[in-house]
Amino acid sequence: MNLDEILGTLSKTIGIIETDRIFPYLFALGMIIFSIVLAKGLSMLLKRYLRDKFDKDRLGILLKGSYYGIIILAVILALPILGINTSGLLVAGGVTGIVIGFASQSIVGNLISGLFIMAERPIKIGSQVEIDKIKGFVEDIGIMSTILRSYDGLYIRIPNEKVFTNNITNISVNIARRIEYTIGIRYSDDANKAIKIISDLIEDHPFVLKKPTPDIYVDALGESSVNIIVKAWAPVTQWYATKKELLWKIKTNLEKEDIHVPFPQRVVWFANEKSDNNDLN
Amino acid sequence: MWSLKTNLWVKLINEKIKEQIVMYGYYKSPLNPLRITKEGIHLQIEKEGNTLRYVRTSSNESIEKILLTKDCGIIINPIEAQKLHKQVSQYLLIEYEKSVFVEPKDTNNIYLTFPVDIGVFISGRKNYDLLDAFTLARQKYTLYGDPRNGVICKYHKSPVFTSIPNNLNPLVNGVMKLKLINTTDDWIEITKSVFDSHEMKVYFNENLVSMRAHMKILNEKIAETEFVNSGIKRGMKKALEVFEPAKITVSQKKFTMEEGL
Repeated sequence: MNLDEILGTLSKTIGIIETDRIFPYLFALGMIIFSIVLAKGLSMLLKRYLRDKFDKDRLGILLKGSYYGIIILAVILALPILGINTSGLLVAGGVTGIVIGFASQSIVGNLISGLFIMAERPIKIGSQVEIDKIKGFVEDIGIMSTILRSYDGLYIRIPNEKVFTNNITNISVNIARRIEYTIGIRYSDDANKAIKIISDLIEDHPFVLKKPTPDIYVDALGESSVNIIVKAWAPVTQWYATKKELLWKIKTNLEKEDIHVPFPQRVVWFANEKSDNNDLN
Repeated sequence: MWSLKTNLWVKLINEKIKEQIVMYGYYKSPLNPLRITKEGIHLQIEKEGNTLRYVRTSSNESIEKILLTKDCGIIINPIEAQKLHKQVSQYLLIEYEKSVFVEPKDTNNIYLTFPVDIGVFISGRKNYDLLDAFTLARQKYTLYGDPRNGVICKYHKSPVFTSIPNNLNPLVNGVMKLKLINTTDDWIEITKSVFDSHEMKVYFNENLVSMRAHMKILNEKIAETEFVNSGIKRGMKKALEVFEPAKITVSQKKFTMEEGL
């Protein structure tokens, strides 16, 4: 076979494959390759940006989801170019999507909320929090739910959607927390002396912080007592123990100085004893 | 780490620090059952069967430990603040009784007192470790900054001296020589200094516990503080450290006061 014959055979073969039919295949292939490159790039970018915000396992799930999601989307877009009609697929997919969407509304809601909680990080594992009137320590923050251990040792699973849409009080995020008491003393007691006793106790207690300066003052003249407000700060790690200890010390030290917390009392005057009452006054 | 401990131990043994520095020093036990009573502190190590029993009572506190050894040494020396209640804070705030004004672009030395924590180390077999820690100084904490961005500090109020103060009880208070370096063009008023106590370098002798530190004023609200590794007098011994550099992760040796001076 000489050179002319070979060239003739090749030109016949190429002629069978028409160029206008090759182009869509090449274009579709290009789209998929481009989507793979794009997905890789996006994964790397997300990994770099979110590395500090997500833990390793959850970041892995997110990266894989975004990677395969982009490729699947590119394949779906490439199918019509190859002459495959995806309208049926889209209709079927749409209907299925609606059905699944209704069925999994809360699941998706929890998932999205979980991602937002991980990104925003209003709570951390180990934090003491109050969510939807539930108080406890955060044991785990999952994609779908957050696990709390209540102060009485119960395991509580809260769906992330509920965590995200409710007010979250993080008790341990700040390093200091205020202790506040209302101490009632009798009208016959010396309020200044009581304030001095409480001030000395607060000054002597190591974990009642020097600053912010404690505030002790007569707040109200109540029905049965003169009410003294005590506001003092403690390190958040010592807050509970200090609060417990200090209140009892205040009570016992006041009593040592003959300052007492009165029982609720009401003076009743009888009309037929008016003269006696006048005498009493 | 091991070699560092070994060297220190060997040094201590070689120097035969058997003299009693008020209370600080090296004690051999149980050749003679150890009993020390000083300033309301009562320390005791005595034989109990094949083991030793350590008892310490001070300030309404009583500690008792069993030492699974027949023979050991006891080293008592001042240690960095914050070994006690270390979960609360690692910082020391010294508030000045009177505020200090520093000239622009000037450097000055002042002397402050600081609360002393006392460490009891157990030593033997060329190694040592902290057995007990306590303090006779008043314990008080404070917040430097705000609750969100500030730090909890051990609090101490000190007079400001221009020379080394006399008549301090080395079991209660030490002396810090603080070099104030004003890098600004303004007069700066200082009312307090905050230090990272993990970086403390404590030196002591018969009647004085000391530290040296620098406070570099960067502007009227910000300063950097750091400790200097030397005593304030010649011949002072370096105290054994509790927070050794290799045991903890230290990101920076300076503390930046960003919440006011």
